[in-house]
Amino acid sequence: MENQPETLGLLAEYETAEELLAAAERVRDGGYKKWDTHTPFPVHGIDDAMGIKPTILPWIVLMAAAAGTVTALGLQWFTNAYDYPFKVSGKPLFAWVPAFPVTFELTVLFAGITTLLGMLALNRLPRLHNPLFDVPRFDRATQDRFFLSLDATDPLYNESSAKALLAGSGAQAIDEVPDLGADHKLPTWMWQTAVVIVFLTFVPLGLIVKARFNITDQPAIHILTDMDYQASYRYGEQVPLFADGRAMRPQVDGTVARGALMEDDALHLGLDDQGLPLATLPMEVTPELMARGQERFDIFCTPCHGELGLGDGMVARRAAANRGKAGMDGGWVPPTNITESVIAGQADGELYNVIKNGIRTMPAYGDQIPAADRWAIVLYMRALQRAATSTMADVPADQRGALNQ
Amino acid sequence: MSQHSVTIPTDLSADKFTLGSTAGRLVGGLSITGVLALVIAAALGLGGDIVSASRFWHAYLAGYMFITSIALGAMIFVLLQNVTSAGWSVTVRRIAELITQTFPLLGLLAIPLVTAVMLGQTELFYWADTDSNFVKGGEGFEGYHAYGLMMGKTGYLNPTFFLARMVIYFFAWILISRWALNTSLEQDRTGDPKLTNRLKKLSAPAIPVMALTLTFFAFDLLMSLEPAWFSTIFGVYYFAGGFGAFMALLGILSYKFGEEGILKGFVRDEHYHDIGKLTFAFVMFWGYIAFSQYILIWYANIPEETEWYLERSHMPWARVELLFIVKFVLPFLGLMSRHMKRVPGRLIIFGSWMLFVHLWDIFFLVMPSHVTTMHMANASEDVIHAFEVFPVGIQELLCVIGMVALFAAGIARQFSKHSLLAFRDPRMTESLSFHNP
Repeated sequence: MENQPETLGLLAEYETAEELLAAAERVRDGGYKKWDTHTPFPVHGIDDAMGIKPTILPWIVLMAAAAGTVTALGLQWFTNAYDYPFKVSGKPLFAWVPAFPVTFELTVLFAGITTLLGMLALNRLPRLHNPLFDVPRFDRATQDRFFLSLDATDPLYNESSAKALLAGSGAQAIDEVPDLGADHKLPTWMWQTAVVIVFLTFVPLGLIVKARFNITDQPAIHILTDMDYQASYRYGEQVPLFADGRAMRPQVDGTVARGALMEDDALHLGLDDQGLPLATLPMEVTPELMARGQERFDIFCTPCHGELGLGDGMVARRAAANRGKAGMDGGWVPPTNITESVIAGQADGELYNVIKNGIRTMPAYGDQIPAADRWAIVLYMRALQRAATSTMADVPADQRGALNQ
Repeated sequence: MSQHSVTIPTDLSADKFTLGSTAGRLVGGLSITGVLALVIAAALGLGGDIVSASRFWHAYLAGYMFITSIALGAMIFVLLQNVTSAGWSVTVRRIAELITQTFPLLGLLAIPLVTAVMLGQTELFYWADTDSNFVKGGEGFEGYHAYGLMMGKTGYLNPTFFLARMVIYFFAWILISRWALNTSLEQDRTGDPKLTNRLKKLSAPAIPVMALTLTFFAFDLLMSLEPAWFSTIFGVYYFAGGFGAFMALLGILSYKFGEEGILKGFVRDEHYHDIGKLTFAFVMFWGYIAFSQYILIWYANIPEETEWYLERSHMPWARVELLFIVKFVLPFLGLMSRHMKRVPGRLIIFGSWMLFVHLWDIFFLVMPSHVTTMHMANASEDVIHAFEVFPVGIQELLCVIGMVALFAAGIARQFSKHSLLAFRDPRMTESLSFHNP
């Protein structure tokens, strides 16, 4: 029979998983290498029955995970500590603690992707067609039948002896797998399209590379215009709505914005009737005001001036420690010792003015500290100045003993 | 074959799985060893000054928290198996149930700690007497540096409330552990499958009870060693370590009984594999929790939180990095392999290691507080430095040996009395025939 298609192998059908397992053990013991089993659900013990060696996939995944770890640590070290070192909140440029979460994520990512791709590659997937599909009976492999297929390319394969082996293993039916010669390769147009698509994905990358190495005088391309051109007006922008064309409206003559009335020059500017700095606080001195002053001083002033106002705060100490080091010595002006007589001799209004508007390298704190708190800080500064010049005679007699310890 | 064809012998009886005198013989010797070791340690420590008393109390607490964490891990393991209707663990569950019967013993061992607190002994817990000069400062003592912060917590941290809480904890634990074992033992006698459902139903509400009591127990006995410091994840930290240590112990015991003992044929490689997987999971979980606690404190860098880690960083053995390596990285890599979990006996390697590093971890939690106490007591720098470098002396050895011996005696006593196998559990077939994929 010359039109008879060539046989690619044999397909045996079994009714139960137990029969298949028994048959698989026989085929395994028969020394066959190129064969497989097909079941509607995972069958426990089939690995042993078929003599399948443990997969090497775990080792591949382990390698990929290690690669993920190294990549993550290397990337973080390179970007944060080497290529663009930038100190944030006094943290070390590179430390294992913050690096750990990213390292963990990348390790898992590399391992996960490798598990999937490695599984596909080791199983030679995706595979579009299998000659077994040409055996009609094989449809039941996804329903209620168990199959064992023997490949004709196996060196031990011999049609009659293989058939005898399968028949002896309790097979319900044995089919020859026909070679219908069907062209199961990918259609030409499909892989050509794929090549074009893969090529096209490089275009954006190429444009980015080109942009990195070119200077242009063309305006930027606005892809999302609603972000770049917003309906609101910006600082100092011109608008046709008003006669003067200003978007920022000046205050109407004779009005004051809510909460912006600063009528009391003594309280808000620290000046007396003649426009000279006030000599005393424009408010009643109470223990509460002193406590408030200490609290605010500790928050705003101690970083530079120190807890006792001696000019030895943490910032100052750090700057002093870094003096002379390359890149760290920025012409630092040490903070003033506020207990010095020059400062102590100034009027309360002058100290108030410094807090509000700043002086030399000290920035203005008017925006952060409300007027009443500025006076409270002045009061506390007076207490610190008094303490700096105090003697044993200032200590109440009954508490001197405690100091002597 | 997809399933091992399992036929459960019909002639099973409790006697067959009870160790009887084999284990009973050990009880006496272990008890005497344990009591003796603890008494000698107490005599050595409490006879001396504040520093030696403090050292004894810290060593006692470390040993105590070590064995208690294992019993707590066993309790939660039992409840989890019941609530999830776990089939695989049927043949090893009874071992865990019997380990939880040590709660009365653990309650007894807590009495010295509670008594010390009630008597206002401040070497261990500074909040036990906030008026003492040692804590408050005065008469040659500098006092506890965060006295003010501690005083803000005295509504919770005071001897009376502490006593009340300890009574509640042990009442709950003894009640739950007794109930779980007795119900299971009743099934041994009657074979009634309804008991399995009852265990399943009532174990569910017992889990939050365990979670809360365990968390506050860890707060009370470990976190309050440094009353100013706080970490909300601390209870989970203690649980994660304890559960991991229990799984390690279960791995060792199940091998002992499964390969050469009375559970032969009932506990096999599939069980080792599952126990190994849970051990592995809790190695990771502990690492995850420990790191979560550390990274937040590291990042925020707030003095009242970092203080706790700062103290530990002075001690070469208590560096966080080192602890991560010995308790996370090494067992993680070691237990990853399938063969490490399946091949009988292999689990013992990392099981023993896990128990050892868990004790190390408990030392990490407890011992730095002794350094604080020594500073408060104006101990000499040499003494403090020597302890910081290596915190294991005769006191610690005696306390750990004593605690472990008593714990082992308690377990051996249970093993000698009760069957080691819940042989009439309706899921027995499943446990004997399942396969790990």
